[in-house]
Amino acid sequence: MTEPKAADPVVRRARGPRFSVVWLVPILALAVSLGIAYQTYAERGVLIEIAFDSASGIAAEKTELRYRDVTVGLVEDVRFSDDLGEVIAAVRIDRNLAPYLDENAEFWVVRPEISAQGITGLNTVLSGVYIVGQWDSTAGAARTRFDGLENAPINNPDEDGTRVRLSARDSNSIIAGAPILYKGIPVGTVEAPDLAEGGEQVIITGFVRAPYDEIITSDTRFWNISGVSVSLDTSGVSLNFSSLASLVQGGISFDTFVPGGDAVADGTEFPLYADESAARSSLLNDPTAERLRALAVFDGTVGGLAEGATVRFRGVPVGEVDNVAMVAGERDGRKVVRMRAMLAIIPSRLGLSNEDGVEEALDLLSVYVEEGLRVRLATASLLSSDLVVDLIELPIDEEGEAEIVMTEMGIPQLPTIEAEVSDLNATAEGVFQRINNLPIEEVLASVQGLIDNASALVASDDIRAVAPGINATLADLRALQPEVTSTLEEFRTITPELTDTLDEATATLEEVRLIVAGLRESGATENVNNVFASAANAADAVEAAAGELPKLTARLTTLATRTEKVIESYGDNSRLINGALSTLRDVSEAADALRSLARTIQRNPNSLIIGR
Amino acid sequence: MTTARQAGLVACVTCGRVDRRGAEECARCGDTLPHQSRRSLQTVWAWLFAGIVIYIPANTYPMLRTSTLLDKSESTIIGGAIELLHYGSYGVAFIVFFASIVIPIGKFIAIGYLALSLRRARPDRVHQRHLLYEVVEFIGRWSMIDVFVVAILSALVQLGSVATINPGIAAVSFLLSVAFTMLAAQSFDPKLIWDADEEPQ
Repeated sequence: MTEPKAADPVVRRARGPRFSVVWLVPILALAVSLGIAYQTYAERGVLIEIAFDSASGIAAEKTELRYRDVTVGLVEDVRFSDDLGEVIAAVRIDRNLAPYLDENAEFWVVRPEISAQGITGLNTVLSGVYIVGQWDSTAGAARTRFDGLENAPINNPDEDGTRVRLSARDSNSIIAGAPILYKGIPVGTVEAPDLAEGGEQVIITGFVRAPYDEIITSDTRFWNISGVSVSLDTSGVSLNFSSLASLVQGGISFDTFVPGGDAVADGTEFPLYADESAARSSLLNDPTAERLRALAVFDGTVGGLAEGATVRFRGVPVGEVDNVAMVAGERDGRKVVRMRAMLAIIPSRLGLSNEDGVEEALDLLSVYVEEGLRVRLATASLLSSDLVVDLIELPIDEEGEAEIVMTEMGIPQLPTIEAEVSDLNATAEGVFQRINNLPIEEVLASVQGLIDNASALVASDDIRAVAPGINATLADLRALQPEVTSTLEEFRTITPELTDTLDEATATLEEVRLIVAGLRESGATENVNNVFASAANAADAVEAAAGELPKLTARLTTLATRTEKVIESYGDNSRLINGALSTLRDVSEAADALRSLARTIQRNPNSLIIGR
Repeated sequence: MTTARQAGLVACVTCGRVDRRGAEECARCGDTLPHQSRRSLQTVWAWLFAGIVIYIPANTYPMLRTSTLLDKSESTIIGGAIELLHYGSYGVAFIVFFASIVIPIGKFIAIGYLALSLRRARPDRVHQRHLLYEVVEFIGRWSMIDVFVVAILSALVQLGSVATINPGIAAVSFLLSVAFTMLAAQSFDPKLIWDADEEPQ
């Protein structure tokens, strides 16, 4: 049995120490690792340091640096400066941005903030604070050390717009960040209010964004809209505040009331007026505006009319009073002293152009005066005793015709009418005096008494019983009246007869006396007979007249009796009469009182309602 | 007992035919006979080196990129483990640390040790070394636990801006590192442990 024998091996010489292909793997791995490492290094940003006063919320490896809301860096380290005075945040920032981080770069920390203008940085409540960087778009000398701002800057330096400097007496609680409004639209913001050199004034720098800055011309007026204004006028009390933000932060509004101003450069200084009306009226103070000077002469006192008082036409200020002076003059042959006010009317306020406005304005006023325009003094407001000059239009037939006369000085004089000045204090006092004088208590007492009496009267049993009696009595009286009348009539007809009888008797006695005298002189019997016949005739006539007398007497007696009856019946009801009389007296008193009240009210019918 | 190696023989792994040592190819099937020499170790070293190299970025770069509504964080392997420790999850922290740090590094050391030990003139503790090899071979896939976690989290937590988890560079690096060490362990021929012992001096 043959032992199994190994086959002849095919032996090849080992080809030295060969390198396995597998070695490519670690080489590749190394290359990839190095590649990643290099890439990481290359992408690694530039380390900058930003110093803050406090690092509230800044956390290493967490807080981001953002530029235009894009994360461009990360805080790597937060540490103190050498003197422990500041916190230094080391921020790794995108390499590409490093060249732009020159001296214009600004950094601040965004934190949630609740202000009058709204809530900002709300996202940081969840995500934590972040640092915002802001720099311009031109690369400069790169820096790596910056000082962080405490608060966000108000305006981006890159933004287009116009910066204005507003000078005011005081800052009036306008703080940085307050809005600048144009017709209520926020078009800019207030930067820091600052004391001017010398400390006399406050300079408030405001920034108005493009394109709104085109509105600003040299004629633009800025005014303060901070806080609340309460105004009391004829339309009542009104409470004005522009917006909640302006209430808290203050605010500035502006407008260009007149067109034609020149464009302004950055940093132009404007005055800041206290309110809109001041800003508007400041246009009157424009020294370049041409003015029409006119005189107005007033009788009586012009106390309260000061230089600078407004001249209004249809309620709109068109000028102001230049000066007030006394002039001696003559009226109705007497020397009098009158007040003369020099009015300066600005043609542009009347809608006329500035150049040839004075002539035109005079022409315009002439026409108006012919149609009834008059100058009148009026109180500026309810609460002040200041006066304004009103150019009012009255119906032409009310005041008669008038025209503008040229004085010796060559200044036109406008016709005036009596002032309508109501001194509020006096008026109010008078109103109160009158109300005080109203006999209200007496009226009330009288009315009370009347009511009491009336009710007592109505309640009494007598009055009910008496009522028919009164009626009957009145009816009797009425029935009696014609009889009395006829009796009197007859009496009147009798009277001449009696007179005639008496005349005849007298004549008879005269004749008798003549006869007696004749008899005494001659003694003729014939005459005596005639005398006796005449006497007999006379006696007959007297007898006839006397026959009528008893009838007359009877009638008078009847009348007297009846009258007596009536009076008796009244006498029986004397209580009623007393009551009625007293009632009538009370009614009369009440009527008097009411009349006096009515008179008092009539003098000022609206006094009780509006109190003036 | 004599071994084939002592007898100067070598067996073909394909058909089992025994050839004399030094033969390049099997006389019967023509297959390349297993090489017992340095070339085998060369592969081991290559894989091991690749594994170590790629293990460095696996630890320095972030494994997980977690971005939630509030926060955005990147955590490395060791950083994650420390974070877990801070939160008091000692068990999980230990597992992460063990699976991602101890095992891979242990494997590097073990494979390196095994490879180096073959050079020793007088090898000893052959059984222990073989056991070590078995353990390394077995445990290799289990250090993928971190990669699994990352893969699952990345797939599940994609809630838009509320919470998103993405794998970092380290996840890939770690995956490759584990894969390379497994290949290193596999390319290590445990027979060499024994062979070295029996090599005639």
